[in-house]
Order: sequence, then C-alpha cells, then structure tokens
Amino acid sequence: MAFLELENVVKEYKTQAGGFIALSDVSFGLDNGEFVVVLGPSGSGKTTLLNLLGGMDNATSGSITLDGVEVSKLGQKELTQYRRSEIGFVFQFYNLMPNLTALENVELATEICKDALSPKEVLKSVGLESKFKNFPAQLSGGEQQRVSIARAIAKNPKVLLCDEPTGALDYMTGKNILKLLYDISKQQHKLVVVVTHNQALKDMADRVLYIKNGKIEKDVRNEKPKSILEIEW
Amino acid sequence: MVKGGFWKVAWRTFSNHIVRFLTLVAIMIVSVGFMSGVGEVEGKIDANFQTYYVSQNVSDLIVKSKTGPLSQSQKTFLTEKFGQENVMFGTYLDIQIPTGENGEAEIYRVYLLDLENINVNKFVLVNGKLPQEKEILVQEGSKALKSFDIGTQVSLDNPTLNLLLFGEENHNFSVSGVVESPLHLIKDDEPSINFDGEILDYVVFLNRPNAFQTDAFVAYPDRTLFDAFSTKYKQSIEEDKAEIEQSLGQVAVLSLYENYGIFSLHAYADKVGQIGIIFVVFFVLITSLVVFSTMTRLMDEERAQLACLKTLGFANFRILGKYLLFIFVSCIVGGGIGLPVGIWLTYLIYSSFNVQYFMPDFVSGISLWYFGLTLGIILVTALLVTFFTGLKTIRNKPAVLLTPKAPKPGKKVLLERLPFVWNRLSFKYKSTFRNVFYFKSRFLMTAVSIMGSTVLVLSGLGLLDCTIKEAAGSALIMLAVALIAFAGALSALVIYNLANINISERRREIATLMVLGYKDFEVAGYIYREIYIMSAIGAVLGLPLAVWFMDFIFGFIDFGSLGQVNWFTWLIGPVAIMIFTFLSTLLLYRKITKTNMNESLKTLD
Repeated sequence: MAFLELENVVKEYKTQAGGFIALSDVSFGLDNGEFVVVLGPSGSGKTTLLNLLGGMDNATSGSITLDGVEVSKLGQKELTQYRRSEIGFVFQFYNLMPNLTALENVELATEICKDALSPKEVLKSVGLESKFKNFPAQLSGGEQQRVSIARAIAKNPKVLLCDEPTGALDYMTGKNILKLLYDISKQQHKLVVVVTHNQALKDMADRVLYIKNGKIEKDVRNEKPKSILEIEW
Repeated sequence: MVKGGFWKVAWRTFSNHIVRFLTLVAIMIVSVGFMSGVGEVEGKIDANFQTYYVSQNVSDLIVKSKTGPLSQSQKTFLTEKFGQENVMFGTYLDIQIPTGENGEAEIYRVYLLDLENINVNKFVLVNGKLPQEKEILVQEGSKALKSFDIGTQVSLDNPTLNLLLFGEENHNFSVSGVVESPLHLIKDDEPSINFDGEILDYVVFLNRPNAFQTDAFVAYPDRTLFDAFSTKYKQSIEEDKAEIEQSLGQVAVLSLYENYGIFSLHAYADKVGQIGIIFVVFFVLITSLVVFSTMTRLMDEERAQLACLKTLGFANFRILGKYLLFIFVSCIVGGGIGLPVGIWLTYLIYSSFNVQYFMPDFVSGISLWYFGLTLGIILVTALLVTFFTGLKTIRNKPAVLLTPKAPKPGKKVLLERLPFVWNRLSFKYKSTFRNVFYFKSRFLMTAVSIMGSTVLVLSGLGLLDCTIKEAAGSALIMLAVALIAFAGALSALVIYNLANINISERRREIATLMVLGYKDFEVAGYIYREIYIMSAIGAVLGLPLAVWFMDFIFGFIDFGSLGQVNWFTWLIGPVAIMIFTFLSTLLLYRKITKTNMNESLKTLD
C-alpha cells in the first residue's frame, strides 16, 4: 500500500437541483518524498480533492488512507486532529494573520503541535532569518508565501498540500517558491502535493495527476523531472 | 446598468447580512420604544390632565372668607369678573369627630355645596347616586384616605358644623354615593386646613344649597390659559390673587399651586419628563454610534464587492444606494415596531401614576413628537454617515478596493513598548492586544458603546435603589425598572451585534485556523478573547462614567444620591455586561464552528 492511497473515492454534493458529483471513482497512490502535481482546469474537482486530502471534508464513498490510517473513516474531532498533526497546508493567498509577525504566524501552527520544529529554524530555512519581526504587510508576496510554507512545514506534517501556491506571485518569485517546495520534498523526504492549473509545472514533478470532470484522466510518472529553473512559461 | 440589477444587488445585501439586519431592527425597536415611550409620559399626563381640567371645570382659584360668609357684594364682584357659570359658592371646613375610644378623634373634610348644580370642580360619581335628605357623598378611599360603603350611617355631630347647618337636630347621615373630586386627586396624606399637623381621614359632601357660603370656587373662563402651569397662567393667577385680596379684603385666595394633589402630579410628571429626556439623549447617542459602526464595518467588509460593482459600471450613487436602502429599511422597520412598544410603555408608566393619584382616564391618541424626533435623528445620522464614509471608500480606484484595508505596517501597540509585560504574554494574547488596540476607531466605537450601555444599566439600578430607599412614587420605580429592562436589552443587542460583526469580518482567519487544525473551542477562544477584553474595558471604564452621570442626574432631578446606591449595584452593572457578552458569544459559537473551511481558499474578498 502506498503512503497515501485513494480507492474509489466519490464525492457528491447535495444541491437544490439534486446531486452534483464533484469526484467520481478516484483512485491513486502516492509515495513519501514524492513531488506531485495535480493538474486541471477550474471546476475539474481539484479543490474537492484537496479538501478530502486535507481532512476538511469527508468522502461520500471510497477510502483514503494516509500512512496506514483510514482518513475517510474519521469523525469531525479526529479530522481536526488529523489536520493538526498530519497536514501542512499552503494557501494561494498565504492566509497569514495580519496582526501577527512572521515568527508569530509560524508559532500559531507550532503551538498546537506536539512534534513541531523550531519556528526560528524553519523561518531561517526558507530564507527569512532577517524578517522574524515583520508583519505580513511589511513582506513581499513571495516572502509572505515563504512564511506560509514555513508555517506548514514547522508542524512537521506527513503531507504538504499546496493550493495554487504561485497563483498570486510574479514569475521569478513563483519559480523560487516551487524550488523551495521541491527541495523540501527531497531534503526532508516529504510528500508534497501541488494543485494547480499551470501546465508548465508538469515537467518538474515526479508524478502528474491530470484531473478533469471529477475523474483522474492520466497518471504520469516523470522518470527525469526537469529542474524548475529550466522550465519556462 | 439595468434597474433590475440594482434591486438584485440590494436584495442580496439584506439576505447576506440577515443577522445584522435583524439585530439592527431589534436595536431600533428597543431604542425607539424606550425613547418614544418614556419621552411621551409627561406630555401624555399634561394632555390628559388638560382634558380633565376642561371637562370637570377644575377651579383655578378658591376665595376663602376670613370673616364668616361672603357678602353679596363680594359674590357679585366675582361673578362679574369671571362669569356666573364659572363661579360656585359653598363652604368647606375640617371637623373632628370623636371615635368613641379613649378620646381619639378623626378628621373630616366637609363640603357644603349645591350638589345638584355643580358647575365648578365637577366630581365623578364612581358609585351610587346623588344624596337625598339626610344623605351624603363620600370621596373614594385611597391609601391615605378612608371611605364608607354606600348605606353606612355616619354621625357628623360637631358644634361648628351645626352652626353652619343652622342647628339641624339630626346629625346622622346615610352614604348615598362615592365620588372622585378634582380637589382630592392625590392618594397620599393631605394636611388639614384647620388642625395643624393633622391629616384628613374622610372627605364628605353635603347637599346644602342654602348654608352659609364662606368660599367661592372660581374656574377661569379661558380654559387654554392653564397649559400645564404655563408662565402666562402663573402671571394671571398672581395678578388675580392680588386684585381679589385687595378688592374684597379679609379673604384668602388659594390657587392650583396650593392644590397639593394637582401640583405635585404636575411636578412629578415634570421630573419623569426630565429623567426621560436625559436618557433619551443617551439612547440616541448609543444607537447612532452602533448604527454608524455597523454600516462602516459593513462597507469595509464589502470593499471588493464595491470594486466589482464599480468596474461593472454602476454609478457611485447606485452602489451607495444599496447601503442607504439597507440602513433606511432597518431603521424604518425597527422604528415602526418600536412605536407600539413605546405607546405601551407610556401607558405602563402612566398607569403606575394611578398608585398615587386618581389619574384622569388614559385618553388614547398618539403623540408622535418623540418618536419622530428620535427616529429622525438616528435615521439622518445613519444615512449621512453611511453616505459620506461610503463615498470616501468608493472614490478609491477599484484596484485599491480589491485589497483589504491594510493596517499601517509595523506599528506597535503601547503594550509592546513594555517588554517585561509583553514578553510574558503568550502570542495568542499578543495577537488579541494588537487587534484590540491596533484598530483604534473600531476599538473606540466598541468601547464607547459598551461604556454607554454600562452607564445606562447602572443608572437604572441606581435609580431603583434610591426610589426604594426614599419610598418615592411607583411611577419612578416603574421608570427605573423600564430603564433597566430596556437598557439591558439594548446592551445585550449592542454586544451581540458587535460580536456578530467581529466574526463575519474574520471568517477567513477562522477558516484558516480550522485548516491549521485548531479545535472549535480554540478557534472560538482566538476570536472571542478580543471581544471579552473590549467588553471588560468598556464595562470597567463605564463605572466612573456612571458615577459622574448618576451624580449629575440626582442633582438634576433633585432626587436620590450616590450614597443611597447599594455597593453591590456597582458590581451588578459591569457583571451584567459581562454576562451579556458571554451569552452573545455562546449564541454565536455555532456561527464560528460552522464556518466553511473553503473560506480560506477563496480569493481575497
């Protein structure tokens, strides 16, 4: 069994017009230390998949297993615990607390985790040793995303989930952020899942999952992923 | 843009902010209800008394001869001056009738009048019928005055009275009816005119058209002059008093100013009116402030939507129109429901005067003066404020509006400059204190509203303490109770409104904390800590303000003192505010825990 395993996962939303199937029969397995890109246009089911992997929602049927624990069977309280200790989440718009400094934003996450890493060390590792005391408003977009990544990895999670992490950033900054995420997957041997609609990212990933109309259309393994610095878009 | 588009957008403002709309409506109901209710009491009493004054032809002057019966020339002087129909002659005196036990006696006020032709001070026959031979009428009993059942035999054997009745042999009378006379409106002790330091036990009326007539009851022909003891009336009374005393000699002239019942009712209504006005001002201020902060925060929250509508080509005035409509509808609906609440409150306080006075019937008919004034002030303030702050926001370029209002970078709150305190705080508290003190205008508006609420609740409680200790009229007690109830409801609503807005503004933070794995109570703690601190600051700062304010009120109405306020009342006020805060946050707990985590994934809006 893979580190993260999805089997026949279905997610159906009840709407006034009846049922709406956001994910239908999704199955795949991801390994630890992999850098995975989930690629799809908007409305394809990317966000739903992210919600299920991140423990923000329950699947309608099928099973999701992370490191031997069946996430799809967890109740609300256990899901909170799951998000707390197993998942690091990187948001498109960073979602930093505007009234907390960079360091305090990382502490916000580490405070509630048992095996947390040192917030200062983690901020140093993402290149922000000189910005501990800066508020988000005093940081550039790229720097804010670094704080957000630091906040996610400082929890020492099993999986790093990233929702369009470069969506709000300029070209070069975006590349640097992706490089950081890639390095984390390799150096810290973490499963990193990046959800995006940016086709160009497919070449840098170990695995690419193409998602369309709620189904995995293609599951491609790159034997020799390119360095992000070589990719142009 | 097409008109339908505007209405759709305007409608969505209501449906998206239904809790805020309902809270505003409720605040308006409580506030307008209290203001119009309490504000109208004095006017209602004056208006009803004026009606009574006209219908009963209440006497403005009583001319009392000091030397036996009034002479024919004296009578003619009065009837020529005021008109035959406005003068009534008769006699009244206080007599002592022994009770038969250890030499004790009771005091009777006896009126000798032509009871079949009463044209001044017409009484209301509550029960029974007018007297025949050897029958009398008796004034209805009260907590001070005693009365007789119809048919009771009463002995009025008294030398003075016998003299006035030309030595009638039979001193026994049977009670034929019970009346309420304008001369005895008060239900409290009335002093005797003939026996110093004694109070009246009974008031009886004898039908004696031909007895000695020592007194004249005079009603002014111009019944509009009175106008609740107006200055013109006072002047007229003083002039007439002087003229009559001069012209007739050897007479004493009493006026309505000496009618303890009527004058104290007026003075008392005036006091209630004065207290009312002070609190009406306070309610207007708090409500305006709450409406003001609700609207500015709503517009801040919807900055992105403003930008969107702007880029779609909506005119500035159209975009503002939906907020103006929102506040207009909230105020009008709340005010509209507040009006009957106010009418009911006026009736309630008016009725409580019945404990002390034989009140004229409550004449229905609505005075909208206070209602119009208070609703008008709140509405105009709200519309102007919404319009101008809205205009300021909307004049920004859409690109500026699309980013949230950024806090000024790197500003530290004062507490951060005290490292020995600041470094000891956990970062949760650091965040809370920054939120509290960083957004100064928001903090100020919140703290001031809560301070105001604290002052109102404390004033109501303090007033109640004093009224109970001074055993003052139940109308004042009713007023204090109404104040406590309405101020309490207003405080609870104000706090609920602030907490609700706070949660709405921070949906994104809440969703983010949930994604990070914060438990429900931890998320609530993160958001609520700030609300609790603001409430506590408001409640504590409200305490000295309340002391000052109550001292001012006690002086202003010349009733009560700070010393009469129970020490624990000072605790109850702030504690009540904290309980309201706690209950509000408890009610809103589900709103936090039900926040959709997808809020954290959305674009900034």
